[in-house]
Amino acid sequence: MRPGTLAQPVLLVLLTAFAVFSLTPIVWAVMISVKDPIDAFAIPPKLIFEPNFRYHYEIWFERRFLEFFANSAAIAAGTVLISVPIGTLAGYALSRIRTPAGRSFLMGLLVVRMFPHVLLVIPFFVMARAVEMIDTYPAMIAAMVALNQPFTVWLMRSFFLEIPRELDEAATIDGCNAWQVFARVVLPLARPGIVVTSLFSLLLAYNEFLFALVLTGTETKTLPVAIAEYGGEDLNYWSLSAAGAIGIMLPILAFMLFFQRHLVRGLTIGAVKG
Amino acid sequence: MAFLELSNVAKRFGRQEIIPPLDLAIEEGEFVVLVGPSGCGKSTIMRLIAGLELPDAGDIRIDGRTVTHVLPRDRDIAMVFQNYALYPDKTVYENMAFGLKMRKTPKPEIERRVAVAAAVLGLGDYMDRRPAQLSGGQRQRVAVGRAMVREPKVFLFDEPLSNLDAHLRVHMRTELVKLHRQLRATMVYVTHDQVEAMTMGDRIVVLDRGRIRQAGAPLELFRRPANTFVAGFIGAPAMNMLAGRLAEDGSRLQAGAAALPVPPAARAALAGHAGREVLFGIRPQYVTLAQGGGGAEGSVRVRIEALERLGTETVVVGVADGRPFQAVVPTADGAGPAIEPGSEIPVFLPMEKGHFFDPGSGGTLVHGDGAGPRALEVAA
Amino acid sequence: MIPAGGDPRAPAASPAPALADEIPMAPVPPRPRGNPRDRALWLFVLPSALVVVAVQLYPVAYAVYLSFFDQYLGSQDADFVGLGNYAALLGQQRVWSALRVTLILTVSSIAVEFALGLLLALGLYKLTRGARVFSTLIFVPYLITPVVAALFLRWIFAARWGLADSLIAAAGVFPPDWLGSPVWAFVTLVVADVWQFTPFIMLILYAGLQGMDPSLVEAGRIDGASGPRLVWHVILPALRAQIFFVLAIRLMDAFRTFDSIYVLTGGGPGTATETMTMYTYTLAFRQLEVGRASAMGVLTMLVVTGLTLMIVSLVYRRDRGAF
Repeated sequence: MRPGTLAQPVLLVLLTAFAVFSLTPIVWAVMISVKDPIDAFAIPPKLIFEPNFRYHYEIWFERRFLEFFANSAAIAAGTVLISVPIGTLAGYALSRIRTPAGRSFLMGLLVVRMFPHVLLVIPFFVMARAVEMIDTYPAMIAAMVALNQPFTVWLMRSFFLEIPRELDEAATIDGCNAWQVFARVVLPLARPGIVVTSLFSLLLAYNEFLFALVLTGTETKTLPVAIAEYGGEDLNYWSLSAAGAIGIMLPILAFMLFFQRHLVRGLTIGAVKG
Repeated sequence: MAFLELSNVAKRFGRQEIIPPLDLAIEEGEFVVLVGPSGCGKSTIMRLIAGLELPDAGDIRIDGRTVTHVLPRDRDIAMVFQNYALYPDKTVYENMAFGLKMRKTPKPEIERRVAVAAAVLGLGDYMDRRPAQLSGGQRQRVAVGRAMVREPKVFLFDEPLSNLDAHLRVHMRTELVKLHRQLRATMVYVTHDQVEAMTMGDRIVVLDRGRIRQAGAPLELFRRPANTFVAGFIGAPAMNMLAGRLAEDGSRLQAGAAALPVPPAARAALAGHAGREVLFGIRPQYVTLAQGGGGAEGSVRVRIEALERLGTETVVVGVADGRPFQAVVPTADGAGPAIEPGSEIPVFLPMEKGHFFDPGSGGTLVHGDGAGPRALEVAA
Repeated sequence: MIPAGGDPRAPAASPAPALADEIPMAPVPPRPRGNPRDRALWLFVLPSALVVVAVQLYPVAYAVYLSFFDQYLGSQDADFVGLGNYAALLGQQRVWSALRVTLILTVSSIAVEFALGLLLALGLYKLTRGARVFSTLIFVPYLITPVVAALFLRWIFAARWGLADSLIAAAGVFPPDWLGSPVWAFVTLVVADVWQFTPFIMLILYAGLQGMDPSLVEAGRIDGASGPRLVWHVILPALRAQIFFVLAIRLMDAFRTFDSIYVLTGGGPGTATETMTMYTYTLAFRQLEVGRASAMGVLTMLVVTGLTLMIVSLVYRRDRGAF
């Protein structure tokens, strides 16, 4: 499309407007997190002030958010370490299997992905409670791995579809059994796909709220649950809350922006290959 | 017992039978080309031999051993793929060594074999490169090398030259033939290009929709096609086909306005078709532009639609009696009948160089020189 | 094995070599199929399948089972009530209201997101420089933890102290009650969804545009189309796969939104923004009626699955190529 049909300046204005729209809430939260309450909620809003980083210190070191971060990290790591390998195996197999059974399985995964989390969380809670696994890492990790599978399998499958089957055949003729074809020939070529899938799994587990709300307790509380407790009406807590929110956001933001190209590739590959 | 044998092998895809029960026997050291239009099943047959597909019926034997349900890696075959299928993350050396490594061949032996193959194929300077750094022709050779080092009983080539540009293709054709002579290995080669088939094979197997139409030496198929399919497929430009009615006494064939004399040698075989319709085929290279006014016995009138001037030769593309007709003639340098698109000229047909076919079945009734149709398949 | 006709190397050699399809062949006896490689591949699928069955299918089955009982969370006794829970729910005004709220929120959100996402994607596509910068900036909200995103928006829309209110009040206008008024609460929730998920749509469509064959657009131009007509007739059909993908994903996900509603309105004021998901949660974890909550969850699932499958089959039937 030849640029210039709609003038570039107009485009720039519109895109800038939306970028502002996208970033304002974040910027505002950052400002709240370093303002004292009087400054934070002045009308009209005060843009010049003296930043106070007290709240950031407080939320992490005095309000146990560091602990909650450890919980979130542990659960996220556990999820990725389990979900990605089994999802990759299945994704590879399903990229090679051409029978109707294979297609049915993929459709089945899609249907499973449609299950409302709120429906799943109830029996999960009941069962976990029965075996006294509330407030444990394994329960959360198991849930996250399972919730993750349909997406992981579909995504890895679309990456494997890019690797020609002929390589499988050449390897078979060269003497590899099914596992060797996968491990020694195909898998090394799927490394970028694995990175993307791991990132998405990480993101999903780190951001999960509902399941964490229900399944975690004082020992394993994750950051999303912790911060939600600070969402109350009491203005005095808002600066603290903002500090916590920004703190939660920063690591994931840094991480993801660093891997942005991979993320984009992952999303778009999923879209094109259905 | 042949070296590589398919007996009664059939393959279905869903409810469609892509290969009806088929028999094929290949001798040790033969270079056999499977050729036919796309969809004829040639690649499927190759994959059945390789073990990448399993037949729905029938048996496959290699060197006396039944391998019908044996895994590809235990069949002692090697395959060169159309898209080379080289491992992108491995070097040339590693690509070639991979199969031997999987079979736990001792390292010195691997090195020796790879070195030999590399020398034969001229890959010595590229051993540390990755496929992405190689040209098409080089990748091709690595793929061949990978097959060579395995010293397999049968080499399978699946349209290996299709992805190369025309120049390289011609060059690689001769290279592969030379390789065959050097290794004296059994090679099965699949292509849709009949020129490749004609120039490379000891024996050609022409396939159409899963069926063998004829098998034999290239010249055999060229001179004595067994049916209209082979006649039309082998040789370019394609053979001209004329439809006509045999006279009651079998002495001439009336094709439209043209009266064509039936060669005496062929009359006996055509006796049963006296008074009936037959097809007559003759290659464009054998016909000549008639001298004089035409209307002479043994010539047809051709309305010229286009001329393809190829330098020393000219292809006259036209229509005779409602059917496409082509003639390949030496380019006239001024002399000879004036030929231009739109004009109609008489073309003389040397009947003894043609072939008579049954219009219903397409099978050859008799060749112009009196030779009868042979069995579909002839050993080399 | 000698086939009819003698020498196995000269099949059907008759005087006039007949085409084989005129000779009736014996039917091919079936052989047991079972490519050993295929069987091995299914083993690869096994771990994933096991996990999904054990940790998703089984709980769902259990939830369905629970839905037939009248049970309180934590108690041991459960009375079998068959379809009683379902009957009760379907008779409740609150349930129908939840359905209505869910549909309105989902449809509005997706409509706005899609329109904006498409416009942004087109804009990025036509931008000569700086597309990367803009797409990165706009992409940020998508990466943020939904709970955190909801909190950020809370601080914008909070009554009196939020950024929106303080800006509007400074201009002398009386600001609406973003989170407290039934109508405005809807608006706020739609804005929240749009804020977080427009980047997703924009990204996918933008990638689709970049992968699109530019000669299609040029051909369209030559044929006389331009501007909106070009978009409608040439570009949108070219992006069919991507559009289908984003709409399907957003439909599934928007229906199940929980985090932002929990943080922003909690379903309120009253039940004005209570979606099916929120009501299910309330039933289970506030009213502790596990049986009835399960039934509500099942109803939610039926609606989502039904709607999605309906739309998928509609599109699938229209052009089988899209998938």
